[in-house]
Amino acid sequence: MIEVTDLHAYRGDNYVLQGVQMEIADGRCTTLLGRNGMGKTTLVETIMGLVRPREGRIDVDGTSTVGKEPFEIARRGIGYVPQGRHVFPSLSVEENLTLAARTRGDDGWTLDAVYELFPNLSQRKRNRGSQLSGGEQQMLVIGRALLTNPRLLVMDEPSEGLAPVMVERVGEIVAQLREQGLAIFLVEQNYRLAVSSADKVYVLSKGQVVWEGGPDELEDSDDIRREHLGV
Amino acid sequence: MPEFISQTLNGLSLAGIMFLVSSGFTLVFGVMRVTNLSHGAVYLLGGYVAYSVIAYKGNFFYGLLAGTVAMAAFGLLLEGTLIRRMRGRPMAELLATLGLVYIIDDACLVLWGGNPLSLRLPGALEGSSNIPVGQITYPNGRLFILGVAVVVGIALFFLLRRTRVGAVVRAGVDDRNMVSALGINVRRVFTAVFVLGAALAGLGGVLGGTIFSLYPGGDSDILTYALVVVVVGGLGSYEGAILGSLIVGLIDNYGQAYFPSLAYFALFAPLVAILLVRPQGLLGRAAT
Repeated sequence: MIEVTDLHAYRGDNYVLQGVQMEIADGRCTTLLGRNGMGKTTLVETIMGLVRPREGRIDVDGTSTVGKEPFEIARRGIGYVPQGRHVFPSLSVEENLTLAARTRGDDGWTLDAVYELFPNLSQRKRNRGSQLSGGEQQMLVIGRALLTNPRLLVMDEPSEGLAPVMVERVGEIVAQLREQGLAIFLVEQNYRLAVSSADKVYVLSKGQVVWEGGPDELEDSDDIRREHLGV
Repeated sequence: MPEFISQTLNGLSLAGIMFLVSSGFTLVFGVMRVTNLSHGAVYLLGGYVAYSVIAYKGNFFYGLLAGTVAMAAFGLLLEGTLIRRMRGRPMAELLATLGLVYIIDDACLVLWGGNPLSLRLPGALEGSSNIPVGQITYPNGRLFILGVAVVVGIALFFLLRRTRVGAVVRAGVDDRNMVSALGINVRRVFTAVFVLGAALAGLGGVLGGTIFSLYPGGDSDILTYALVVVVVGGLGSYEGAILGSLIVGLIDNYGQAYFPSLAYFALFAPLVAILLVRPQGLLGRAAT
């Protein structure tokens, strides 16, 4: 669904992405692992159009998205769950969810379906976004992205700052969505979560993809794990 | 006591004009992060347009409508040409809107001359009414301003709080990149907010022209007030603009009425005090 070719991007004066090459497949879960500061979030933000690449190509379904605005890229069917969650604090829970809702046919995500998936949110729908716990906020931004009825869900470190039981819940949700045929691009530092969810894993180090393969292969590659992931 | 009630009403009608000008200014800043220095000039231009239409048509309300609609159109033009090209470059935006101030001011000077012009109120608003509180008579024109400000204030409140468009605007104030990354066309939101802000400034100019008169430099006077209002209320906060207008309008008017030689001190001293305690403004959120 997305093909990234020789992508170079800067953050200010920092040369962050140094020729990234990767592919995000339809209907599969692709995960990106890497330590802090290796360029994971920059890669996600470049794909979403929030950072302009200096060089390289990003193609969504065969058409380039470089230079397009974030909303144009999102409308190609990409739901975005950013790092740090980015709940809208002055909107109610329900407003957060419905703000960008788009329908797709009859079998897409609806508000009721999201409340069914996350019952906590339905109890707190009148609360402001800022009044939720970290775990609830994470559920909220996943629900918010699902209501745009994407074909691909991009999740940037959804487990960050969550209690272990919530991290497990995120893993269950990813598994459930993948079963429903949604493509997922999961960017994680949590090795367990990433490997247990993945169909394909990329390892990013110093702005380049240094390894790619199946989750089982990564489990067997002790040197890669030790050198690039510290696990 | 009647004197005090009159002064309070004067302060409130002044607050009404400040609210009309500063609510647009603060929303434009909140959503677009553009500090539109030409906002005061749009106010003045709106008043001048109304002056000419009233002179031609002989009806104040045509002028009111014309000043508002013309400034909405002007805002549309500005946003679509100048502002859009500068997006994401705060210094360029600041300089461009500052340059615009001089262009608009000079154009007004050529078209309407340098003498202060007053907008004449229609017959119905020219007289005074008895106010039940305190047995005073008070000019209808100022009560009209107060009424318009209240109606606009309530309408905007419902627009912002109860509609989806309003939710998008509030979300944009919170985090406009995220709004865009969810697939919402932020360009359209920017345009709508900018046009709304310009229309409100134009309306403010027409109403302000009935009590302050219109004169070269009137734009920077009102812009100063608007800046003070939004800094006190909290940049980007609509409710902050309402609260800030009330505070600034009342303090400024009491100051000028009761301590004329200290009027500026009376206006700015409380503001300094507020900012010392809450640097983000009364209803603003601390920068994250």
